[in-house]
Amino acid sequence: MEALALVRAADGTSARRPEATATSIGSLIASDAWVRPDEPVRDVAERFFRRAELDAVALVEGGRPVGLLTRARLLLKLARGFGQELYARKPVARIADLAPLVVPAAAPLGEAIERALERAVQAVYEEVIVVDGEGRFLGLLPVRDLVLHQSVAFARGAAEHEASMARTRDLEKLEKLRGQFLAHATHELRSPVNAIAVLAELVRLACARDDLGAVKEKLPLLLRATAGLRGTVNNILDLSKLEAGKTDVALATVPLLPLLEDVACTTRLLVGQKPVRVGVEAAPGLALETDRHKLRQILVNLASNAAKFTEQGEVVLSAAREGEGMRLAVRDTGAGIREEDLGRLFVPFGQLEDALTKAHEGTGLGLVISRSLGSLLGGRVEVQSRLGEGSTFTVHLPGSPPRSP
Amino acid sequence: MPTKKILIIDDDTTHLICAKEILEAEGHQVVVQASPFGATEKVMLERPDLVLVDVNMPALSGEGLIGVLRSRPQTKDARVLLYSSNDEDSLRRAAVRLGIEGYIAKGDPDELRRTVGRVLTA
Repeated sequence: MEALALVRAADGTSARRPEATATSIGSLIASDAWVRPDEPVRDVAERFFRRAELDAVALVEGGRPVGLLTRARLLLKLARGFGQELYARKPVARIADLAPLVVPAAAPLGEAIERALERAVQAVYEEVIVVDGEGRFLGLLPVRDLVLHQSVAFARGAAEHEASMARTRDLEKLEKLRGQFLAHATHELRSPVNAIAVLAELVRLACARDDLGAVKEKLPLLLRATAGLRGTVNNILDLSKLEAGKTDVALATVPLLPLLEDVACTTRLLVGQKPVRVGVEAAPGLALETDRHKLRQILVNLASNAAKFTEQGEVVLSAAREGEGMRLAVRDTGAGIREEDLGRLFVPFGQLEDALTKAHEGTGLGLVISRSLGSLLGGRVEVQSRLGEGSTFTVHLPGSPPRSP
Repeated sequence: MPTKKILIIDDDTTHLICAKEILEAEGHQVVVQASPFGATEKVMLERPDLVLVDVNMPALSGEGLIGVLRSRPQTKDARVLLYSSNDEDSLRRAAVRLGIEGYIAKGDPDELRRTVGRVLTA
C-alpha cells in the first residue's frame, strides 16, 4: 500500500495527492495529465511522443472529465489508413473515448476494480478517471496498479492470516506441552516429598520406642529421597532458566581428553558393581572452544543415563574432529530404545515408562536440558539406538561457538 | 476389633515399606504387592478388608487395576482406596469416576491412619 501510494509526476503538471484512507483509490492516482477536448490531435500526439511514460490523458472541460484518450487508442487511430492526415487538425474529442469509467476518489478499492473489470475486454486495462466529491477531475489511475495493489493486499492478508493461524497452533501446542510438563513436574516433585514426610514420621516413631536399629534402617532411604528431590528441583530450575534465556555461556579453550576422563570417573561410580567397562576414546591435545561447565553437564547426563540402563558390556565416551567442529559421543551396550520411542526422549518427562526405567530415579528432564544446553553451545544432541543393542548419544559442536546473545 | 487385613499395591518400594510400617503400628495386618500384575490374584487369595492402590504404575495404572477388580465376581466387592502422590482434585475425581470408597493422598501419615481407620470401622 505504501509503495503504491507514490504519485508519479506527469507532464509538467503538479501532482496533487488527495488525502485518502488506506482502502480508497485516491491514494493510488498515478498522474493528472489532461487536455481540453478541443485541442488538436496533432498537439496531443506530440505530448505522447515527447513523454514516453505518458499512457493516457483525460479530456477535461470546466474541471470535469468528459473523455479519455489512451496512447494505445491514439496510435491505433493514427496508424489506420491516412490517420495522421485525417485527424491531425481535428479536436482530440473526435478520437477519444467519450464514456470513460469515472470513479470518485473516496470509493473503496474493491468497487473500483470491479467496475474496471466489468468493462469490455479490450477496455479493461484502460485508465480509470478519478474525480472528487464534486465531480471535478483529480487524476488517472492505471488499472494494473489497482489490481496489483489489491493482490498484494490480498496476499499480505492471506499471509498474515496464515501466520496468525500458525502462531495460534504453536501457542496451543506450547500450552499443551506446558500443561503436561507441569503435571509431570508436580508428580516428580511430590513423590520424593511425600516419601520424606512418611520416612521422617517412621524415624520419629522409631525414636519414640528407642529403636535405633529402625532409625538406621530408614535413614538411607530418607537420604536417597532427599537427593532425588534435590536433583529434580535443580533440573526444573535449570530448565526454567534455559527456557527464559537467562543462562550465560563462558567460553574458554577446553582440553577434551581430561574432561572425558573426569566424566568417566563419575560414570564408574554410577555403574557400581555391574560388569560394565567405562572407557574413553579421544586423542590427547584435542581441544574445543566452549563452556566447560555446560559441556560437562551434558556429558554427565548422557553418561549417567548410559550407566543406568546398561547392565553389562561397556559405556564409552569419545571425542573426535568433525569438519570445523567436534563430535562427542556416549555409546553403551544397554537396553536400547525402540525406534518409535526415540522422539519421546527429548520431551520433558517423555521418559520411557517401562518397568526397567521406572526403577531408576530421574525426572526425565536430563535429556531435555542436555538438548537445550547443546543448542546454547551452538550445536545439537542426537541419538541412535536399537532395542536390545544399546544406544549412542552424540553431541555435535561447532569449532567457534556463537557469541552470547 | 479383630485384626483387619490391608493389601497395599504400589510399585514404589519406599512408599510400600513406609505405609506398611505405619499401618502395622496401628495394629493392622499388612500385605504388600509391588507389581500390578498378580495383584488380582493376591486380592482373591488374601481377601483383604481394604486395598490401597497407587495410581501411577508402569504397564497398568491403578485405575486399570481397579477396573479389573471390579469386573471379577470374586473381587468386585473389595473395598478400595486410591493412594497416590497425585493432587487431591484429580484423586477425588478418579475416586468418583471409579465408584470406590475414596482416596488417600500420600505424604501425610496422620491422614493415612485416620482414613484407613474410618473406612475399616465403617
